[in-house]
Amino acid sequence: QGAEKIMTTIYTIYVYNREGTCLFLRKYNGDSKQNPKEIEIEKKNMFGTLFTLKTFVNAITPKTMDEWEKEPISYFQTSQYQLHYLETASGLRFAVSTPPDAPNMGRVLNRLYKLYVDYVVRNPCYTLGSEIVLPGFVQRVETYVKELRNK
Amino acid sequence: YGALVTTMIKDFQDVKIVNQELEKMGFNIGLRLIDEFLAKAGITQCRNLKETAHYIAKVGFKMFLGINAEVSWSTDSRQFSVEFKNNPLIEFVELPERFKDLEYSNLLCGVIRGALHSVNMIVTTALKRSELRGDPLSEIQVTLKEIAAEKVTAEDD
Repeated sequence: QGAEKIMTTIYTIYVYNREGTCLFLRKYNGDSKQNPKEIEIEKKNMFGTLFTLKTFVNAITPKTMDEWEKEPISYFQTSQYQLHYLETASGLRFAVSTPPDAPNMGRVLNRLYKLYVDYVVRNPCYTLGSEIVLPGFVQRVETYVKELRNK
Repeated sequence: YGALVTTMIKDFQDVKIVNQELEKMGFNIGLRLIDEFLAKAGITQCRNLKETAHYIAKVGFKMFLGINAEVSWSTDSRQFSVEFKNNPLIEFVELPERFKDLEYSNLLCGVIRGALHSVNMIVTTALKRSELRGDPLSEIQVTLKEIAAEKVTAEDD
């Protein structure tokens, strides 16, 4: 495993659970202030997009899949951004948007998953399926995002 | 764990109810434990039941209980057993005769059921053999009932 440091700006991080509830949405590019209604719409749109994309990708894959197999999505790209994606076997969905020239974000997504396990799942005060407001998680993610931008 | 079970027996007075409550507790633990398991073991997908059984026995039991477990298959391909010795939960525990129907390790059955539920596998589990009751090893039988279809319950626009 390379000790190569990943360096990238992160625009937004999204976390959804299996049922489609948005557990976490945080923007890190500072300036764009959205009103709560816009944020709610974005939460739904992002999940809808990810869900539909997965259904679509699995429908047109040239490979013959078994009953249990699913084609995982790594990322999709536009001229303005890349949207990186990790779906766990437990249905948790992590999505991170970055500039279009970002490196492979697999390790970042896995790190976010591990942070989720350590600071959300293991916290007895957290109810599964509810919005994550735990300062432990929020701050560590913020620190990690800063780390990725500066190193 | 022993203190917890003892308190539950005092509270519920009925061993059958204690068994059920232990299983339920285990289920709720399983719902959380699955993510720690998947994240630490780096597992992205469960491709089939054989793989799943292997992960539970060889990776899960090692990771969370520190013991090695074996998988044995029944003639029904939807049913397998996890067999293990040196269950840390029962260390220093003795089961009095009047509690012979207590399924002391039923928590583990619930954990397996909860964890598999989170990956869309609906199973039933049962503690078939127990070292605590004099068997040479402990055995948890897992039966696959169905693979839940993916459903989304978020509100539509």
